[in-house]
Amino acid sequence: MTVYDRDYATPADAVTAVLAQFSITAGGDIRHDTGTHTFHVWWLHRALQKKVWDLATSGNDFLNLAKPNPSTSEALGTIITLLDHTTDFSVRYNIDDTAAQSFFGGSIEQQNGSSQTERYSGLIVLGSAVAGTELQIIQNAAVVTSFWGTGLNQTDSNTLLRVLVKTIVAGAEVDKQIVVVKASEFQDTYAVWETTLGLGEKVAAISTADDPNNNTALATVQAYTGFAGVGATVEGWDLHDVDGNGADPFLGSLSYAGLTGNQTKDALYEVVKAYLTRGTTDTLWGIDGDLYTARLFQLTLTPGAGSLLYVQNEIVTWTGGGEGVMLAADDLDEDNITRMVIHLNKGIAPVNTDVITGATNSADNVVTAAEKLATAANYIGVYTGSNWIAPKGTGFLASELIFGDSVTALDGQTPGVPQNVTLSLTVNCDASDDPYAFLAEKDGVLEAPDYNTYNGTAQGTSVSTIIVDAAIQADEPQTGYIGVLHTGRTYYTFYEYSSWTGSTFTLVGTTDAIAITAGDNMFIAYFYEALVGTGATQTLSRSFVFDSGTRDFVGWVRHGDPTIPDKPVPIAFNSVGSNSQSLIVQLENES
Amino acid sequence: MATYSTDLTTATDAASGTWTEFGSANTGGTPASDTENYIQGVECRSQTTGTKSGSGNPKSVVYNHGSDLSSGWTSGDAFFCWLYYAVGANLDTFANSGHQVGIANDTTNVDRFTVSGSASGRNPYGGWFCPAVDPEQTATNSYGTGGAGYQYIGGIVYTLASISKGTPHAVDAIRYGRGLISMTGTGGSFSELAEYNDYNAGGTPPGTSSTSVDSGRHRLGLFQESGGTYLWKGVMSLGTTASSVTLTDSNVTILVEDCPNTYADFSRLEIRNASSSVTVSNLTITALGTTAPGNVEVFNDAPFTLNSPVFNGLGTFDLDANTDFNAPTFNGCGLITLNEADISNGTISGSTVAADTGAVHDNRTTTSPTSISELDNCTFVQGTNAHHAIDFGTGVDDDITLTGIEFTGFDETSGEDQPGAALRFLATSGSLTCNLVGCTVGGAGASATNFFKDDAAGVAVTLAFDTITLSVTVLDATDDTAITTAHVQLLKDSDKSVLLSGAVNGSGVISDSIAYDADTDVVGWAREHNVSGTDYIQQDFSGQYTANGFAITIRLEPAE
Repeated sequence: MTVYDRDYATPADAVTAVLAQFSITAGGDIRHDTGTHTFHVWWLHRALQKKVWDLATSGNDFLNLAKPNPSTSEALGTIITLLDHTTDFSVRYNIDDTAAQSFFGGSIEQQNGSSQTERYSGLIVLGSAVAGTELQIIQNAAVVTSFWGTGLNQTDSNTLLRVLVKTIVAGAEVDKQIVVVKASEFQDTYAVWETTLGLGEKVAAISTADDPNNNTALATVQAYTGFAGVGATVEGWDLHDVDGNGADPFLGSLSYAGLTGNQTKDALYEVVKAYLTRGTTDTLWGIDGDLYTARLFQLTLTPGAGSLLYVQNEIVTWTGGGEGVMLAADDLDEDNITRMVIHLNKGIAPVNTDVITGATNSADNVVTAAEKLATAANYIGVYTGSNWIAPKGTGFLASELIFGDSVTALDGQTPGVPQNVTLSLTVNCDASDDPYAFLAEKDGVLEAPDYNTYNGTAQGTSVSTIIVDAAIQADEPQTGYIGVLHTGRTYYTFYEYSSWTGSTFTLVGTTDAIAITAGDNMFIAYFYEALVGTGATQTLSRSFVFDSGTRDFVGWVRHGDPTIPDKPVPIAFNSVGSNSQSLIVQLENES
Repeated sequence: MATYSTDLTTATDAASGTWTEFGSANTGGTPASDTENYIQGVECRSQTTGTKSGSGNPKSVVYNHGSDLSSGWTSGDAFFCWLYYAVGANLDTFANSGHQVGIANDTTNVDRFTVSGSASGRNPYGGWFCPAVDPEQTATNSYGTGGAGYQYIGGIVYTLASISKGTPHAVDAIRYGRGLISMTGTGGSFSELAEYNDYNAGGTPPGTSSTSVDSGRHRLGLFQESGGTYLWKGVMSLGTTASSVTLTDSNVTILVEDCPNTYADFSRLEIRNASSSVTVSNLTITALGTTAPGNVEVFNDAPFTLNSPVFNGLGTFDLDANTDFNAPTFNGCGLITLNEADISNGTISGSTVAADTGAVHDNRTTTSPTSISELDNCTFVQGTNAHHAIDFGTGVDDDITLTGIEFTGFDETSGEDQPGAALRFLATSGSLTCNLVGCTVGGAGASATNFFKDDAAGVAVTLAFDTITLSVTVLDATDDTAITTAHVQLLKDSDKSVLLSGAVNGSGVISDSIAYDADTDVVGWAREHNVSGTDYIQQDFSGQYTANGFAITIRLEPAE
C-alpha cells in the first residue's frame, strides 16, 4: 500500500495508481475496483483531468475528451468538486462511501441524483498517541465505523490519521459538520477533540500517553465487585460538604465504597475510565462510553410553569438545534429548576432564549446562559495516585476525599478538603485492664496541660452548649471534651461535645446543675475517656484539622484497678504539626 | 475654405466679337448685341426670327472666332455654348434637329450637332441651356460638306411657326475645354460648387483663390443648381492631382446632363489625391442620358465614403480599397470595378455591363483563403440584360467566401459556364473553393441546383454552399505560446452534437469546416492534462458560430 500525498514526486505514477484502483463509468460513477493505495484528493482531480484529456477510453475508465469537465480544484488541490452535468450530458461525477475511504487531504463535494449537495470533508488528526491507539470519530451521536485501524495516511510523524468524513448528505449537513475525535484506550490517558469540518481538510489534535495510574487489566477492573454500580448509584445534582463549611452542588457522587475488596481511589479511577474506554457498552450517567465526548454545559434556566418533570439522564433538545443528555438539574420540576447540566450529543449548545425540552415529559424552560464546563476526556480528571484534580462539576463522596484532592463545584466554589491530623494512642496491657487516657495541649511553660485556653461566658445550669468568650481555634477537634472550672468548684468538670462552631460547643449531654460564670477557665481535653476495645491492645484516637504551626500535647494513661493496678504512664505528642502521630504505651502492673 | 476651378477657356463672352449667320440658316435677323436677355455677363447676341418658319427656314446666331480653334485642339474637349430660344414648344423636335450647335470653318459647310428639340432637355419651357458638343464626335447632320474646322460656332434653330416679335433666338458665352470643375481644400460643399459655377456678379467668385473667368462673370454650365438638384456634366474633380479636398456633405441630388454629342467618359466624378477625404450621406446621382451617363473613378485610394448612395443609370465605377459605400444602390449602372472597395449591403440591379461580364468585377489578388466581406449581404438583380453578378479577376485563385448575397434573376437552370451564371472566374489555372455562406437565389438558399458559376477561363472552382470554418486556438496564458498537446471538444449547445474533437496542431489550433445552417450557440472545452510537463486547468468556453464561422482563442492557466 502506498500513500500518495499531495506532493508525491511522480505525478504520472499517482495518476496511474488512481486509475488502476478505481473504475469510472460513462455516467461518472467513480468506484473502488481493486487496490489498497490511498490518495490525496488532488490525485483524484488530476486522474480525472487526465482521463478527459485522453482521446480514447481505457480499461474500466470510460472517460475521454468527449466527456464534460469532471472536476475543479481549489485551495491547492484540497477542495475538489465533482461536477454534475446530468442535464446536458447525462454525466454526474461522483464517488461513494467506499471510494471515499481511499482519499484524504481535502474535501470532495458532489451532487447526488437529486441534485443535492454531498460532501466528504477532510479530517487530519495531529498529535501523538500511544502505539496501537484506535482513534474514534463521533458524528451525530454515533461512532463512525472505523476503517483506519490504528491509523491511516500518517504522512508525517505528527499525523495520526487523515481520512474523509461525509458531512453533507442529501443537501443537509450532518450535525452541522461537527465531529469529535477520541482516543480512549484503557491504561492510556484519554483525549478528545471537537472540530467542525467543511471544505478542505480540518485539524483535530490528540495527545495520549501511558497512564501510570491505570495499570490494571481492563477485564480485571470490569470484574470488580460493584463495578457497574459506581456510575449508577448517585447520579444527578448532588450536594457535598467537602470542607465542612456547607454543601456545594456537584454532578453525581463517585465513590469507591461499593467496590468491595477494591475500595480505593485507584480502583475508582480505573472503573470510571473503564466505563469510557473504546469499545465497551458501559455507560456513565446514561451515556455510552464510546459516545461520551466530554462536552458538558451548565445551563442557567428561567423557571417555568406547568410542573412537568425532567427525568434524570433523559434526552433533551432545544430550539437552537441540538440534542443532549440531561445529567443534572438543581430541581427536576420545570417550575423550580434554575440550573441544568447536559452532555452535548448533537449540534451546538443552547444559547440565550433557546427553549430546552425534556423528551420524557416535555418539561421545558428558557435558557438564559450556557457555560461550557472545562471537562476531562476521562470525566474523572487527573489522578495523581493519591489525589484527584477533578474538572468542574465532577462530584465525589466527600468522606472519601482527602487533603490534596481538588474539586470544583458547579457553583464555582472550590472547597478545600481539610487536612486532618490524628493523634492515635495504643495501649498494650493486660487483657483484663480497663485503661483511661487524658490528653490536652501542653502549657507553654509548665510540663502540664494548659488549663486556661478559653474563658466562659455566663450561662445557666444544665445547658447543652458552652459558649466561650472567643472564637474557638480552628485546630480544635470536632469532637472531644471541654473542661470547665466552675466558679465554686476547685476542679475541672469535663463535658463531652459533639461539635463546635464559632464560640459554641455543642455538648453530647448537658452541664451540671451549676451555672457557668463569665470568666470560668476552660480548656479542651483531646482524650478524657476509656480506651476503646478490650483485651491486650486497646486504642484511642482524636482528629483535628491542621491549622498552622506545631503544638505539644501532654497527658497520661491510667489504670486504677484496685485489684491489679498498673503504673500510670505519662504520654506526650510533641511538635504535632500537619502530620498525624501515634504513640504506643505499655502498661505495667504496680509491683 | 475650399478652392474651385475650371479648365474652360472662353471663346467669346458674347459682349463683343464678330457675329454672323450660317448661309443655310439665315432667315433670321442679323445677330446683334442684346443687353436685356443674357445668361452671363451683361449682354448676349440675339436675333429676330422674322416671319419664316419650318424646316426650310432655320435661323442661326454664329460667333466668328477669326481663327480655327481646331488647331491644337485637345481630343476629348468640347464646346460649351450658352443657347437660347424663347419658345421651346415652337422648336422642331430633336429628331428634326430642332435646336443645334453648328461648328464650321466657314459659314457654308457646317457640322450640325442636335442639342435639343421641342420636347428635349428643359423644353417645352424654353430658356437658356448650355449643351456640350465634342466637335470630334460625328455630327448629326451638316450644311454643305460639313465643317472642317472650329472658327464658326453658333446656335441654329428650326421653328414650327413664325415669331415676329423680339429676338427669340440668342447665343451667349461660348467656351471650350474638358469641362473640368474642381474642388480642393476644406470646407467646401456642393452648393458652393454650384455657386461658383453660376457666379455672375463680377469680381471674386466663391472660394479661396478660385479661378475667376471673364472677370467673375462666368456661368460655366458645368454644375448648376436646378430646382433643388444639381445639373452636372464634364469632369467633377473632388481633389486634384496637386491638391486634396476634404468634403463632407449630405442630401445631395445630382442629375447628369444628357450630352448626346460627347462620349461615354465625358462626364466623370473623380476623387483625387491620396490625402483627400470625401464623405457624403444620401447622395443620389441620376443620369439623364446614356451617351455620357457619368462615371465614377477614385484615384490614389483616397477615402471616399458614401452612406446609402443611389446611382441611377450611371456608367462605370472604378473604386479603390478606401472606398466605403454603405448600402449603396446601383440601378442600371455599368461595370463596378471593385478594387476591394466595400459595397456591402448594396443592391446592384439591372447592370448595363456587356454579356458574360460581371456587374461587379473583383480584381483583387488573393494569397490565402479570403472572405470577400466587401460584398457581404449584397443583392444582385440581373434584370433583362444577361450578365454575371460578379466576376473575379485572374488574381483570385484561392478559396473565397461570399456571405449573405442574394442573386436574383441569374441563370438557375442552364448549368455551368453560362453567360448568365451568377459568378464568373477569370483565373486561368489552379483551383479554388468558393464558399457560399447564407447566400440565396431568389430568396431560396443557394445550392447546387439553382446556382452556377462560369470558370471556363481555366481555374477549377468548386462551389461549397454554406460552409464555415470552426477554429479553436489554445495558448498558454502565461506567455501566449501555443499548447501543442491540447485537446479540444466543440459541441452544439442545443443537442451536444460534436463539431470539433481532437488534438490541436503544432500551432495550437484545431479547425474544421462545416455546412452553415443557422447562427448556433456552441460550447466546448480545451484541455491539456497529460501528466507530463506542464498540465493546465481545463477551460470551458462558449460562443456562437455564424455565417462567418467560429474562431476563438483559449488561454489555459497552468495547473496548481
